[in-house]
Amino acid sequence: MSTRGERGLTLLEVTIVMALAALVVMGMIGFYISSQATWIDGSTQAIAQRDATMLVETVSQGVRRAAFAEVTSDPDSVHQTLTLHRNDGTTLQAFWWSSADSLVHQGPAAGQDVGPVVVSKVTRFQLDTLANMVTLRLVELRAGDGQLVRMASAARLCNRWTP
Amino acid sequence: MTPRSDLMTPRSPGLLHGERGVGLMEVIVATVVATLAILALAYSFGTGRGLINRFEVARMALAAAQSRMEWLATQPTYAPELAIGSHGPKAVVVDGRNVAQETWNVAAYDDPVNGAGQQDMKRVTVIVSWGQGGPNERVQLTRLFPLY
Repeated sequence: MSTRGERGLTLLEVTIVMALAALVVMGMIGFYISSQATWIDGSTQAIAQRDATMLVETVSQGVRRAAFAEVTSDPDSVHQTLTLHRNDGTTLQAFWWSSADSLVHQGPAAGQDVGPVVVSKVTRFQLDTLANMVTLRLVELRAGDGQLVRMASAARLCNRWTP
Repeated sequence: MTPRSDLMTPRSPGLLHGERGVGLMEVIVATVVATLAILALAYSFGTGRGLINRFEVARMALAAAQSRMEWLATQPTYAPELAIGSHGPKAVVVDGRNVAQETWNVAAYDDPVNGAGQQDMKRVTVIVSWGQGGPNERVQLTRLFPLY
């Protein structure tokens, strides 16, 4: 197989080359795995943040359309149900945390489910009613990688009037 | 089917005419370029993750600013919180943790619709800042309120 003047590769050369190549490949694999982990971590965090904003905005929009609000602890004090009423006392909308899927659901009344507001798991959904405001004391969502995203806000009950 | 003669001839695994291999300088340049590319990729990932963390605080700050604006809208126009001047700073607390601080300024505003020279509204600006309070570490909301 060899032509004149060629001497081929010694076992030592091949070993050194393979060791170096293995180091380079391991480094590249490590970089790829690390990059992928960073990517997934960032993406899940971003999704949870977006869902937290969407949940707060959806609840705030409902509150602004309502005249009165009622907050009840169900099933415990860190997972509450918000029922919004019209000026005539009829129920306008409700938001509640479901223990079955750990999501916040909404519907025309508590129990009349039209589906979850967002797809991220909600670990805390705490609200307060103060005069003509509803305070979202703490909305806490769990991202896909287990990190928690927290938000707090408040919205005014804009639809209250005295006949 | 007759086999082709050139396929049957054993080929030399060594250098052929005109081939010269890869020089050390080429290997070094290629390695440096590849290293730079990988470092740039790693830097972009780190920067992206940092931005996501910053947006988390920014979203909380925006929610706090909206919340303060909503609360101010529930106050009567003569409330001390809506008096002309600066108010705050107040801590923005989420789940017992100080995440930012808020201030709001109330200034008299002339509605141009009903003629110039009349201060007939209040312009309320809520500023929520975090970190060092730099231009990328603050959100600001402005809304007009009735003067009386």
